[in-house]
Amino acid sequence: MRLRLFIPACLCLLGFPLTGGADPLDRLDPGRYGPGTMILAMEDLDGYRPSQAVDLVLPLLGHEDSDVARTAGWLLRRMGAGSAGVSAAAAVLSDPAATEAARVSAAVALGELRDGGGSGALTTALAGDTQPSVRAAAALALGALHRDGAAGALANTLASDSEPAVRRAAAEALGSVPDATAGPLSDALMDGDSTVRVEAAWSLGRHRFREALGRLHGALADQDCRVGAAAAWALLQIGDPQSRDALQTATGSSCRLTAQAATWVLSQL
Amino acid sequence: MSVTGMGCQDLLPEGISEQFGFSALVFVSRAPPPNAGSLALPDGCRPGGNLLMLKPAAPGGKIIKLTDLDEGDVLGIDVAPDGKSLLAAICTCPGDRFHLYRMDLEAAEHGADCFTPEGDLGPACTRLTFGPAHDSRPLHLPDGRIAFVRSDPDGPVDMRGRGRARVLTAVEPDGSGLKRLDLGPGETLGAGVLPDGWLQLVRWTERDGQPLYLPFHLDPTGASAVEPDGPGLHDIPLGPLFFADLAACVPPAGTWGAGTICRRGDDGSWSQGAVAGIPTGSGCSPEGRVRDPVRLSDGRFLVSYAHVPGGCMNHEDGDRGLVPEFSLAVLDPQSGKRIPVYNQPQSAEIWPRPVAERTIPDPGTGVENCAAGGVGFEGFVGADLLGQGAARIRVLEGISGAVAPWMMEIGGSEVGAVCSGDADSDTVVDTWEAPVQADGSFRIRAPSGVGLKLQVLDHYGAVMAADPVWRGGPDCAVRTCSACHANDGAVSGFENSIAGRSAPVPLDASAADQRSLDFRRDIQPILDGTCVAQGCHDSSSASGTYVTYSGSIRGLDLSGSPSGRTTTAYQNLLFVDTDRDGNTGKILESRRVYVVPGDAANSRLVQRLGIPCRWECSGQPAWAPWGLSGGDVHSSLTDVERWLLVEWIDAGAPFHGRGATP
Repeated sequence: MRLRLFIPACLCLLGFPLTGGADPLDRLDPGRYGPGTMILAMEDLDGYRPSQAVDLVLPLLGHEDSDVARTAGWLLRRMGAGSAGVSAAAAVLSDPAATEAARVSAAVALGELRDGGGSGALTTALAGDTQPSVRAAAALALGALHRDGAAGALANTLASDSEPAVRRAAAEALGSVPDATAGPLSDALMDGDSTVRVEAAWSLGRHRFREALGRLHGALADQDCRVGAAAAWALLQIGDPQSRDALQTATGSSCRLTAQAATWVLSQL
Repeated sequence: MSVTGMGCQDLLPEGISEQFGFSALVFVSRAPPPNAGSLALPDGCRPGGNLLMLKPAAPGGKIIKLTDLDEGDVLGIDVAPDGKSLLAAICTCPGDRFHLYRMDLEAAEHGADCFTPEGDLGPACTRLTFGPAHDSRPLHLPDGRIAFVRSDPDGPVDMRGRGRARVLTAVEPDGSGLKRLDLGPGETLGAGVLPDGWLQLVRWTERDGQPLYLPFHLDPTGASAVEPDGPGLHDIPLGPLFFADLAACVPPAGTWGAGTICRRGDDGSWSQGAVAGIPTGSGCSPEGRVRDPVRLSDGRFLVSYAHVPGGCMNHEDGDRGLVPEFSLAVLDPQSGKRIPVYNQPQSAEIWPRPVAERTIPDPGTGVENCAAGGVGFEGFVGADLLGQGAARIRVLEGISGAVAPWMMEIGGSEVGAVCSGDADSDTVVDTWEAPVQADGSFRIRAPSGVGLKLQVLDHYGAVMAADPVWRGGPDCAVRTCSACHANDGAVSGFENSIAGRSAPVPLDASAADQRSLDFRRDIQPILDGTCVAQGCHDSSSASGTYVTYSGSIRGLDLSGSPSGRTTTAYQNLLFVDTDRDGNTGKILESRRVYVVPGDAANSRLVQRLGIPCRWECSGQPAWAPWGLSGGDVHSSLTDVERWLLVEWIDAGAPFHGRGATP
């Protein structure tokens, strides 16, 4: 039997709205309520964090609406129940019977839990899940953890995954993990998909990898103008005056976007 | 770009364009939101968004697609004061970030593309921001800059741990000069320009573990303090404020981002609903809800109207599989009556903005006798101030340390050359005053490229409530006050105003004190009393360790011992660069010097002191962005001392201040 916290009117005095009317714990039933109601209930529960909420929130880590799962992961972290959340979400992520949407949600939740214990399940899913959407979500979640140890798996994915959306997510995540190195991201500037190249350039800029200067100079002439613009931004972050000549050349690019970006960077470099 | 005929003509008003002087309406058409959700969820690029124009905004008007994105999205627009261009936050495909673009409305209307199929920019658009941050909700500032909300993957953490905070930021019109505007804790949910040139913004923060939504007044230059405006509230004013007592307000979650229009009560509370039939909270509202209001000159509002037939227009509708229908309408707040303007099923029409073309002089032609240089300021003080006795405009230097010959003029003619600073050697900075004409108009010429404050004085010389802050622009540019007011189609009419037609009026150079900060007099005592006295940042301590370019490790010494022509503390604050690995040059911790003169927002000192640790800092990596540590150990500084540091930095971080003994 679940103990239910009585929600008195004085909660309004504590400073948060009782917008749903009913006990927020009652509103965590996915059989009765839609995503909006459950998200709102979890926002309300964060105001007083009753221990009874944990058992009700854990199943939502695999809810097919990833916004619900994300909010569930956030609330569990705020309640100090991250370890329980990791176990529950990892179980969904590794369950072949779970739907694709549920596995995506579980990966999103593992990122939101910010618990290093989720790295293993995410790395496994990144390498082995059959669905690109799940692998992409796992990559982004590894980035959200901001922890050492994920760079190798992400680099492998960036180099070898067949799906551009997954490689793009890996490139983005590499911008957020501390142990990323310049090599894989530099190589990704030659990826066949331009969105991957854009993310790679941005991540190189976020890390300020001076080793990538040459590749980034080359990327200014990428046939996709968005890549050229991203490379220009990265060069601004690195801030090396050696880039001036390449940027000056890029101001004359036939790509309006690249030319604008190069001009913008030169005004600030 | 495509042009299609407009349907539902029998439901249209008789022509709001004719009634209010609009030439057109622009708005955003987005894919309906997936759930009622929460404002805390990240802004994502959801396919299905485009920019549309309804021209004329009247029966028979045509819908013109200003963008033709298959997989893009739009998150905020703002029409320029002259009605000739707009700013839009656009992403072009899933996974892309929202970036700011300026669109030439005339070009786009006549077929010029904003984007090419190959991903390049078309001739109608210019991109203003770059990089992996999400930039949204752009806003024209009165000084010509552009404010927007940035969520940076390397920026500060949202205080509730939901991701990166949304930070109010500004850039110059060309996208350069990025500057954080709001230094306070929490994140900015929305902002609007007040009639006095300051910003009204709502900051979402947390107090005692509870979310709290606080309205603030903010000097957009960052040179003056932030002022709280009324008590905290749960209904958030998100949209532009057009009058001091009216705001768009939206419950924090559960209503698809729609709410009502709120009126501020006598007690300063914003919770009083001003639209008949629509509640302020997130309870059931059979009458629907509104968002993105634009006040029309007759007191009605142009809004995005959201309604769920048979539903509540809140999170409960999702429980029954009902989704809201967004459309454009004119709303009478007194009666609650709505007049439909435009609706396209299966899409959400939001952010309606009227286009009202106005004549604003081009730089280089607007200022007479331009050869003398300087930037012109002209416009009107607000009607409320005029009614309270506004009589004079006082001009003060906004940035100390600037020494630039400059001219001033009243009524379009030069009246003499003066120099900023202390021309009469009375140890106080000179200020100048010019009259406010009977119709509220004024016109001055000020130095270019120098920060200025314009104060409105009453007949007795007292500073009235308004304290607008302007910034100089390039020579011969003209800053008008048009952006202070709603782009509601009203004709500015400055050319026919008294100031616009007046003969030269002599300047009144009555001086007034202006603070002029001096490092040794005003700043070093703060450092001595806290940082140095506590033994953390004296000459023998290692706190604030940084690595020099040569690889040497040093502690941050903030003592006042002489060093060269200045002091150790001054040199370390201004010239110690970021923490870098001596061999690889890789950033180890920070990215910025401690003090960037004129830019407190990007100064590491302020970031360390002014942005306290807001959320579970222990879980963050050492290289994580600023703001994650330091607030606790620097807690001995008072708010006044923190703001004095901010003021000094924004004043150019001078070592010698005028009025101080050299």
